[in-house]
Amino acid sequence: MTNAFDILALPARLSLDEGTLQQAYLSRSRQAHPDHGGSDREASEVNAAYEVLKAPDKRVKHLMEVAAPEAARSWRTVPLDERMMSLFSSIGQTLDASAKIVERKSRAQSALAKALLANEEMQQRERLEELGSSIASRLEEMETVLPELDTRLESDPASLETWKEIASLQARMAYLTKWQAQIRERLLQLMM
Amino acid sequence: MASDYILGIDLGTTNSLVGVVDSGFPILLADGEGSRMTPSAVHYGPDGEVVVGSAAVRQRAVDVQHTVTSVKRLVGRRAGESAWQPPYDLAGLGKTAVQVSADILRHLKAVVERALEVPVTRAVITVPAFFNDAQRNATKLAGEQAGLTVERILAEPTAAALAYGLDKLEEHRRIAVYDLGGGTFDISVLEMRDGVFQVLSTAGDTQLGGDDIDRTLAEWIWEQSGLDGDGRGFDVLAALPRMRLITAAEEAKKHLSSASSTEVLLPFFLEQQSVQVTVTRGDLEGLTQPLMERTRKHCLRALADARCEVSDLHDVILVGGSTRMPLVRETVRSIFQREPDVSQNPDEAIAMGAVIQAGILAGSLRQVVLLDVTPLSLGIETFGGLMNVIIPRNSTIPCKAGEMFTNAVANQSEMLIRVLQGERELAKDNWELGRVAVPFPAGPKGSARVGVQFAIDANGILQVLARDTATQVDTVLEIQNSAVDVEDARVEQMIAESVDFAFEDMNERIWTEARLKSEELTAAVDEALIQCEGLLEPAETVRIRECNAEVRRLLGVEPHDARALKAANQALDDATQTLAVLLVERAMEAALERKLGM
Repeated sequence: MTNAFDILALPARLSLDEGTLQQAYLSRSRQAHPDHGGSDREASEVNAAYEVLKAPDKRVKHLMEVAAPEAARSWRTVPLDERMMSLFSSIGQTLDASAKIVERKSRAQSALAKALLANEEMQQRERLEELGSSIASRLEEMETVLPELDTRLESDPASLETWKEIASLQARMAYLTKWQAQIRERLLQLMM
Repeated sequence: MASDYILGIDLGTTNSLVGVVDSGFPILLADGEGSRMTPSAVHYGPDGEVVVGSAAVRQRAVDVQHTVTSVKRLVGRRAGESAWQPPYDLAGLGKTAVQVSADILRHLKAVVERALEVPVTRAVITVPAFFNDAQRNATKLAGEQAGLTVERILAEPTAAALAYGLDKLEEHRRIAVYDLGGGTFDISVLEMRDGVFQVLSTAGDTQLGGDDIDRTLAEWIWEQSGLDGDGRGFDVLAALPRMRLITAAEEAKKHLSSASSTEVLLPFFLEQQSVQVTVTRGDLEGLTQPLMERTRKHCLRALADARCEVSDLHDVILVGGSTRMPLVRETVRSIFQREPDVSQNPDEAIAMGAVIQAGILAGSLRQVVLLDVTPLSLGIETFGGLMNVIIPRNSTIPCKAGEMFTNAVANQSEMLIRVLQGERELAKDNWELGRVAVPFPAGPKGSARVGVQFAIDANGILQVLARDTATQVDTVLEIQNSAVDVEDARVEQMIAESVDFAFEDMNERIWTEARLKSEELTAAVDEALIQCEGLLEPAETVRIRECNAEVRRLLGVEPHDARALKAANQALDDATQTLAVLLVERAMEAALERKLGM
């Protein structure tokens, strides 16, 4: 497995600020790009590494893959807590309801028929935005935990307990990121 | 001996331009007629002579069937795939879109060789950002046929960004490039910092441009002329009069960028009858509005994919000749909530960018790095006819991704996979690039392990490699798209059939469409009048009721008068404009109240 941290010459850590990552990516790209003496192959690796490290959920997963001890890696299933489950069901309902509006709007042929949907549409949009921002703040909250986990890994890189915590955090991050993308997509559909 | 010059070429739908970096400066070169813009027109004479540029445009007026224009709309596309129908028959001329493009490129190459007095063999050619793999490959092939080594296929909005940003290399900016040309529309969002131009997202439509505006306006002028009765619809006009109308429409459109109204006069259009129609800017804008709406959707998509708000952008740059239209600027203003940047010459910025990229490749602009993206998701067909995305759209190129394949039965010699580009869930709704045969070594079921790698290079062109995991040997797999030619005949037949069919029941079809709209509209009017009772001027309510009654009356009239119903729908649509605005305003007020109540 190629190590994205190595490719961009960055320390293998859970937390990584955007500016540092961007800087590392741009300076590696200057050498790796085929226009500047690099090759397609080299540049592809640099691009893939950037893609993985940019998204916190993917970055955490990648670190687990390259750095977690074997025992921690086999530990896979992560049950979702009640708070996540209830969020999940309200997201499901909102996505369904808003899909119906998108469908009706796309069938409407006149400006007047579309305008009749405006009120309902706006309520759906508000609901989606509300959910979107609550997801965003939870993701932000999770990211603030990363430096602390890094410190714990530094003192004991093989701690199963720390790695389990990381795995559980990663699973929640991945779900939230996926839902966030779905909400973003639906908001876009409503605007179109 | 060939020189070290690398040409920068903008191979446009309507016009093409060429330039080089000379003594450190990007410059564009003038053709034999003294113009830096060469019309992308090719006339094929009876004795085999090939004329390119303004001379070919002059031939078009008398010999439309042998004059090829806007060929870019046909490059890399299967027959009948484009709704756009040219006034010439390429197959009848014995030419392909690639050959015609090669003739234009050969002409541009000669322009440079005459100006610089040295042979040139290398080039950067721009294409719409939204060109797919087949269209990029076809453009590259055209370059090769013209005797050029194509060093890079470059996206047009990215090229324009280079032209915009070359004197701002120290700065850190986020910009959008809105590129509406003769036949294609692109929108790209880029970030530039320290000389790195990073495309964050791109969206667009390779069948949306000035040509479509001309055609829509030409049809409208024909309807207004009063000569279109007796089944003389626009589509059944002969090629030459149709071309006359389109050319007149194009001139009227250009005129209306500065004037508020213009007259189209075509004497003796059909024998003794002349076309005489006044077009106002309002008429043109009404007709262009639906096309503008399509560009708006692409802009929203590009912004969302870049994870970018309108307020994050420093500038929105306009390029492409069609951005001269006041309505286009108005549209951009409303989407991006700012005055667009018109510092770039809309006709020349893309060519300048191509020249700058040529300079990067030649090593004279070391500090500039270009990171572009692939516009479409790449995938393969999987179980149930679904598209399995392997490389998502807007991935930075070059990039690669792998999939592992294994044999489903013992001693299976190969497996065929369909390679697709597009965003739709079903494989059949996406563009099929071709099929790839993955070879398997002999062995029991499930024993073969072949990794297939999909690599998109810096040109946005795909290469498929198979790696035998036992030997670690890579082989390049050919993407067989011969199926394209087999399907051509079938597609043409399907189109011919559907056209026949369409003529038979044209009136009935228009009626059905109009009736559906009437039913929706009359119901909506009833509902809206209840909701907005007392909020409209009494005179307006009366007017709406009258229009509504007229639509209802026509629905019951036998025989069906499709045209009258369509017109009545339009009248009701117009009459209810204020009502629609009122409804939206009320919804917004309610939303505000909810917000304040929180």
